Amino acid sequence: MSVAEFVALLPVLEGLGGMVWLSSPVYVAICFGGILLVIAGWLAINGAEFIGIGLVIIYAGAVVVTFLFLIMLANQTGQAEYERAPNRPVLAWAAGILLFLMMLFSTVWREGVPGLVNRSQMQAQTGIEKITSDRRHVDQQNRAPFSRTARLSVELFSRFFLADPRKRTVADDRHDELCRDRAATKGPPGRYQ
Amino acid sequence: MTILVISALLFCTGIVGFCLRRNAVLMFIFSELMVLGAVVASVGYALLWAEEKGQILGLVLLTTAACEAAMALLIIGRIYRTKRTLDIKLLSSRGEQEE
Repeated sequence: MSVAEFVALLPVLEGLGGMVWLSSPVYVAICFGGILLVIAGWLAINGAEFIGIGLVIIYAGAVVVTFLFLIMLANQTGQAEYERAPNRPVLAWAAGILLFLMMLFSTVWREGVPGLVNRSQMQAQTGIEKITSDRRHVDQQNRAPFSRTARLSVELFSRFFLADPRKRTVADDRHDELCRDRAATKGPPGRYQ
Repeated sequence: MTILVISALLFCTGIVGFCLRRNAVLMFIFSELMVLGAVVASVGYALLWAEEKGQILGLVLLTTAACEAAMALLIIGRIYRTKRTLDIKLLSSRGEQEE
């Protein structure tokens, strides 16, 4: 983890701490919105601009605003006893820390543990070149900058929203070709009768 | 790898907050945080393995979470109108008494 990545991680840690320690639902929802914005920026910087923008529009623009609207309607101020008193703190922290350690072990630490199959061994066994931890290497070989977002957008909107059902596609031609091959291998009708 | 650590942090903080709180709105916010951790994990693996399918899965998860949030907030608002509280312990004890 580089220094820049750690600095970018700090607002997320701060927001998560605020969400856990603050009692007022308004502040918790605002911390949640801040975390969403930081993660959206993080994803956009790392090459997932489409999801980053979707995160801002859907989560920060719709869900958090609906949360704040409900909090306003229910008149939640964080002063009630049930909003301040924790519910099963020992169980909560034990479950969270244990699960976090398990997740770290299964994702990050697993690379260096002997006896477990890591990604490079899996790549050597299967021969799949896609399994790589260096995404920029693939990008430099095959793709121009921002081509991932452009391809994803074109794929989604052309295949599902703009496609003309009457127009023949390559898949249709391939299907006809397969049908012709199958009919040719069967021979003329009535041959085996 | 950093993005996977962030997703694990989001998910585990969601679990901690969900178990810590007694307010229904806050519990739902923390469950949304868990969904956000799942979205970030799928996008993180998509970036790590140079696959676009993970991003499409993340988009589907986002949409599902938004629909779920709308429905759950409607139910929570309805509960508050009838019971005048959002305390989960109180609501569950009242439900047991009514049964």
